[in-house]
Amino acid sequence: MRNLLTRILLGAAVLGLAASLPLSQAQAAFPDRNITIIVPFSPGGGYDGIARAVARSMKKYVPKGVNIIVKNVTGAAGRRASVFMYRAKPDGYTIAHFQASGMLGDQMLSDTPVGFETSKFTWLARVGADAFGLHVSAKGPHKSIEDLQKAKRVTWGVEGIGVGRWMGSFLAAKAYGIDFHVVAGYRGTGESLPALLRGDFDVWAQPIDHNSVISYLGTDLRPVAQLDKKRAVNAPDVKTSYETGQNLSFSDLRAFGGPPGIPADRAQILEDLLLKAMRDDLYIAWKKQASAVLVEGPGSSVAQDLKYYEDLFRANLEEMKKAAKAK
Amino acid sequence: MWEPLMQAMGMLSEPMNLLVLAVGAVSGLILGALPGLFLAGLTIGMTFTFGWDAETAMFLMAGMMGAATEGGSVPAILLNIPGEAPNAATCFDGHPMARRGEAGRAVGLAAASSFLGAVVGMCFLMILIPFVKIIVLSFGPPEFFMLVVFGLLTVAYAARGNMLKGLVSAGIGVLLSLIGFSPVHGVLRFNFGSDNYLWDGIPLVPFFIGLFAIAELVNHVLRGDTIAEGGQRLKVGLFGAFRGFLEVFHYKTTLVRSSAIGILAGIIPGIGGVLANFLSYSMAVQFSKNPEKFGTGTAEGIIASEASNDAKDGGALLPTIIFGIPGSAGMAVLLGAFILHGLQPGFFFVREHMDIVFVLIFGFVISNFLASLMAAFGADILARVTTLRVGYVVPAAFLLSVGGAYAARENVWDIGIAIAAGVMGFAFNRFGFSLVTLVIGFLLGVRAELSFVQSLQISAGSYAIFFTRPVTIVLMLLSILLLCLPWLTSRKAKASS
Amino acid sequence: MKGSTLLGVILVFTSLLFFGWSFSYGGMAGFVPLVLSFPTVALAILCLAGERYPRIMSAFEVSLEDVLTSAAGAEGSIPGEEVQTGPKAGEMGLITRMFLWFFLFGLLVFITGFYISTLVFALAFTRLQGGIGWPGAVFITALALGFFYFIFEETLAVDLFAGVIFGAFIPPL
Repeated sequence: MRNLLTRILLGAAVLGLAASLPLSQAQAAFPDRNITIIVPFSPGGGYDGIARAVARSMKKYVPKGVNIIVKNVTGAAGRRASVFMYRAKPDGYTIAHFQASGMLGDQMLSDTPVGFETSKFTWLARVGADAFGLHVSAKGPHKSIEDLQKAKRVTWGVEGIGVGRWMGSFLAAKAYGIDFHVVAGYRGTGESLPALLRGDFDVWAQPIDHNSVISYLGTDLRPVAQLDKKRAVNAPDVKTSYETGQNLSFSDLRAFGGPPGIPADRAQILEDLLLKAMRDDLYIAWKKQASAVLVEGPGSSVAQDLKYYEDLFRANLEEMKKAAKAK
Repeated sequence: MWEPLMQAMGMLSEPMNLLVLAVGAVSGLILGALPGLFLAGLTIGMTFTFGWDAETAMFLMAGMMGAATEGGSVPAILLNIPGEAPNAATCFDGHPMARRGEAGRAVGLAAASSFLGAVVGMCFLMILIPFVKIIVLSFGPPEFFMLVVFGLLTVAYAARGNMLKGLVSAGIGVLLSLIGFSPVHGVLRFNFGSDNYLWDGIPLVPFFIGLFAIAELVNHVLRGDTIAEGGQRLKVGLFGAFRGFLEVFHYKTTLVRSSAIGILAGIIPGIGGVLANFLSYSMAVQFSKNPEKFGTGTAEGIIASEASNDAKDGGALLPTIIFGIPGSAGMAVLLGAFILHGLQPGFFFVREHMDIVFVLIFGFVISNFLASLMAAFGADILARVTTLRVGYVVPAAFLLSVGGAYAARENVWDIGIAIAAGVMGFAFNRFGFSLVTLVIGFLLGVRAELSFVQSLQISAGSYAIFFTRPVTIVLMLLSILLLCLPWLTSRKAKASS
Repeated sequence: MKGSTLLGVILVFTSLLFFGWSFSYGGMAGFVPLVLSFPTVALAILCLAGERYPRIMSAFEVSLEDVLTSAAGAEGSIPGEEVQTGPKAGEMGLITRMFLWFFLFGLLVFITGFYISTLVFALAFTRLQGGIGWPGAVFITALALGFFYFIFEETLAVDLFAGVIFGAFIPPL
């Protein structure tokens, strides 16, 4: 049945391609119709907000009559959108705002095939990488990274086993030599932050330069480490892992990507459009308003960053798989 | 407090803002009436506000959100299809009342209780703002678990007719809720061979549309020619709606209790409007002098359902504003609108943007008022829908339901779930297995497990965590009290006779 | 077999399935479902037994509601949700036919997409099942198609499923 379906699908795709071929040769201008940006997470979240801000600026640079539509394809912690994009038509009219490092981790950690391969997507532009920091509650028992290293049982708050924050927490715990027990099941930053303040768990891995936590820094939250080469803008006295010798970078790699096999000329046009949009005054003003510290970059930088994560995950893969199944 | 209040009043007096609010209310009313479409519409509405003033944008959001549940009550009453999930309990009494020929009265009752529920909810919000940090910080996983246990115990009360069957459907609901990837265990469970589709569990929107809407369409066909019983043409005028509107004031206790349940369920993130709706309804059954009338078209049932689902917004706004924790999917979109307009949820929000808080409060109340008026006084026109022939209504309603089931996630398999749930809902209903307890079990089951496991992760496996925290002890005592209630009342009854 | 008995058997089987399945998950991931499914199995079996021995069922007819009602001094018996055990003549056929309509529509959407299936379903249902004349059937069909196009696709930007034969994306199962 599946074979038959694939064949029918392929047939239809070939027919569609054949029909559109003469047309696409005649119209050299790309884009000449609406571009859809897929967001793997629900409306109102960080990924959604950025995609909409980029779409708004991008509209300035596309031909008249072309719209940029943002669409949320949620489910399975982002996996649904990844699978959807992996199989989408590589014509450049469907792109997505991905959490690239999380996708890669999901793909590598999974025992069953996930239905996509992160490195094969057409990576178009980097939106930014929010470097994670480690936070404790200002009122909690632990005041510094040393306190955590000395503590017998340390709990880490995460959304779920195997998600991005879990991976960052696991790698940080290993690098710093901190005990690793999880309290899981919090839905996103909004639930994790009050849970930390309430004392549900001891440590929370979360970008320090992130609009959700900035207003709590110094009063309720105490960042104790920065998992990056550079210190955080909003907590300049917190030491980086490179200063203290752990040499661990971990961030949410936010990037725009398309289905595998977008023609190079179209990919280039999209990359230019996205970078122009992210250097536009409107977007910069939005970033400032939302206190987002995001450094954009070309598609090649995404591939580079992904290489770093692939090496990092590969080096720790067996241990991570074991920890994920420990329960 | 006074300065931002005056600022918000000033904004309200601007014609542009009033217009935006009215447009929001009208579109919220219409979107709310269409099953499964409100969230999509609200998101689109949010994107319209790019480049607007934050205040004007909030008027649109509040306008849409305030009117939605009111809009959802209309198809619930007239067609037995809840427009929004939190309107589900309105079907139980609203629809029988409409079938009796009192559609206008039912719509009027729903409109008035929606509006008053919203007013009570927003008043509570204003009173509670200073205390919210304490409330949210004292509700950790153990407290949450006890709260959910309390909720599950009310299932026993919600079981109408045969208690055994009610408990079996609650159990089935709990088991079905366990399907999918459990983030807390990191395991995909009970997936029936599906590695992707059932990852997030049984999708709520198509499941509910199937249980409540599609199953009911078959009953419509079985019953006969038109939606209204016996095919008689309903005669409802403005008078019927107006009478319903005023009748609410005979049931002040139900109104206040249901509003209170709505507010509490709204405050607690995740419990949301659907549960508030069912909890409120089952409580109303328990406290009513005429519990046997529930399900046959009693005014109390409509009030319990509609007051709670509008009051919940007052509660749900609190964690959204203070912690950035959306109490419901709609609130998540509102949160997105905050971020879009550079408003950062947190303790600072109340300190720096109190005017926005008032804009939202005014927006919700006025939108509810407008929507109630439109629904109640349009009732005469709306009620005519029930005199349409089944041959017209069933295909139209079925296509709308399927479209709504699909639109929520744009996944074609969701249509299959909706139709399968239709068969299930029909069979359960026909053989006396309560759909209410099924749904409560479904909503609470996985949550109970989550907070239970979280509690043990916090305590390193010690069960003492459930017995050593003040809030859990109070909730436990309340649960025990709930269990003893029938015994206590029967003693009282014996003593009095 | 009576419909209610069949449903009872299905419920026992379903809860047993969950119960047995729970053993395949280690630790808490299996323990919690085990604890939750055990009482469900027991209650469902009791329910099924009640089909055979009505005395079991009637023992549970006394719900908490009754207690409260008697406390409140209400008279008479309490009707629950409408319970019908036996189908009226010809009802069973109608029920089966209705769900067959729904199922076929779902299948048709999968194969040909929303527009073609809506066209076919709305026309066929109103004419064959609903007993509506051609003008009414065309009206309902046009209304449904217009609604799907203008409200869903144009206003709400929902991509309606285009159908397998037109190469629509099939979400993985």
